[in-house]
Amino acid sequence: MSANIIMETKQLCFNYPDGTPVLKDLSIQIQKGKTTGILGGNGAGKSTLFLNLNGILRPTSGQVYHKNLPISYSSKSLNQLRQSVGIVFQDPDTQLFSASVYQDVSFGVVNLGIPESEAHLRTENALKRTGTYELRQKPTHSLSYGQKKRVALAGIIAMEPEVLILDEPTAGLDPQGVSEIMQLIRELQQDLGIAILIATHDMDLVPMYCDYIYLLNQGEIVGCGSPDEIFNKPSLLRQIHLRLPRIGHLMELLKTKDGFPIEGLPVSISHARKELSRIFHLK
Amino acid sequence: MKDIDKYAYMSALRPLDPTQKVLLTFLLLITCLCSSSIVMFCFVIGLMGWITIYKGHIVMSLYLKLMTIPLTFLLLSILTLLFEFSSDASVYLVSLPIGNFYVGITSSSLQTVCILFFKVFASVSCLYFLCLSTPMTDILRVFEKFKCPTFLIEMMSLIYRFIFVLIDTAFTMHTAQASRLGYKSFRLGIKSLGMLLSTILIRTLKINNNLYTALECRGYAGSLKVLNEDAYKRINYFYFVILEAILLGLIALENFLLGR
Repeated sequence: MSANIIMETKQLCFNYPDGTPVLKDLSIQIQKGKTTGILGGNGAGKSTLFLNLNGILRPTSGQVYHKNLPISYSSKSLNQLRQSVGIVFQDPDTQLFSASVYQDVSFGVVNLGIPESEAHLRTENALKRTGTYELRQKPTHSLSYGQKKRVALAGIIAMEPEVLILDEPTAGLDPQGVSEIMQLIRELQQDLGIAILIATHDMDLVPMYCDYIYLLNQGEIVGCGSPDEIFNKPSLLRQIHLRLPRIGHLMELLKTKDGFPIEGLPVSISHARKELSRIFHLK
Repeated sequence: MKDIDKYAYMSALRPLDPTQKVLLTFLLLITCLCSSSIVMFCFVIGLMGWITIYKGHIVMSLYLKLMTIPLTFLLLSILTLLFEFSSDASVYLVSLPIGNFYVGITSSSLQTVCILFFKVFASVSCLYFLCLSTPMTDILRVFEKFKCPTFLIEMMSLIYRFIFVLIDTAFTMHTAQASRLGYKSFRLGIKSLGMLLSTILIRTLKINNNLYTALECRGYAGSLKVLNEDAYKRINYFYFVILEAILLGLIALENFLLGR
């Protein structure tokens, strides 16, 4: 079991310099090849957690473990850690520093200190993988928000991290952009077998892609489990300013108010469809 | 503001080696600045216009519109050079008496002004050729090639990138203020503009912090080293020599015809 854990935090606490606690006693595990979701409302501490995971911020107490070893804060090991743990930020405009797409994507790769031909190859692969190869000649400021998000993702993918952290990957995208980027993330995971950590408060789509979910509220983990387990605790979700997926809410009402004999609580369209078909003996 | 940059990216001349484009621009520019041959100036204006419009596929009406931008400045400075002030009316081609003095145009001032007019337009057409065919990132690479200090290039590149973020932010805020009647009167407008500028400053600091964190996450260690695609088309430098020879030939021809 523990061989599959690539990152772990134990009793992680983080305070702002003025002493305000942001993260309280956080213990989470990130598994290789799995998608872990961090669900929490605004200001729950998701972004702070991520910056602790790659050593930008240093925990006030507690430890962050990478491959079963506590991370060290010497500049050499931090560089190795940041190569292995890539963060894609919520607002692509803060991450994209170059006016040229190609230059921006190559930045992290160049910092790895690998031969130039290899670096070109990785940059181009990352561009192709994220569907931004056609944009490489374009100036960053002429791209749409969705395109910028993909370019920001390409810049991290190119570094070939073992853990990919996505901060609100779907925020600000239109429905098609949302499905495209989630599809892309799923493909990346299947092809590269990396661990993915997603922070979100989009309840309708993102949790379906997760293998395991942590509920974060005001810096504390208030629940964890598989998506099914989490969605079976609707009152807990509501307490922390989240909600069930719309389908789940409908099924919950049908079950509790209208007496439908629904087993469990289907939260995806396909599950709900199957369950309703069963109830009405359509199949 | 954002558009002039877009044309450089769309130009059909973009794939040409930026170093060569910069060299060509400066070759022509220096020749124009050092000579006073109107025939040569006209040749340069025609050549650069032809290259930019027909080879670079820039729309003619846009090009003409851009060429009129320096016209206002040019006309203002020309007026001061054109008219001279003297007590002797015989030196003037046309003159107007004001008291004991005459204000008028002499043949030498007319000649200076004509030369200046064409010289400015020839130089401007050279610079537009560069602006409308070479994006900023390419020009920065040329600086790099000519060993300009790295921190200067990095600073220029960051400024260039974030100018657009800043303009976007400023416009959005301005719209938000205007839709709440922030610019209803002149007094209110001044007040709103002040608030806008101070907010932009704070926003800039915040963006700066976020950017630094994001760069650190990708292994930033003090320098912004990046890769470039090397797929430039190059032209033979022989053509540059021929072009310069034509320019010098035109200057010589004009001098000969005018008997100078």
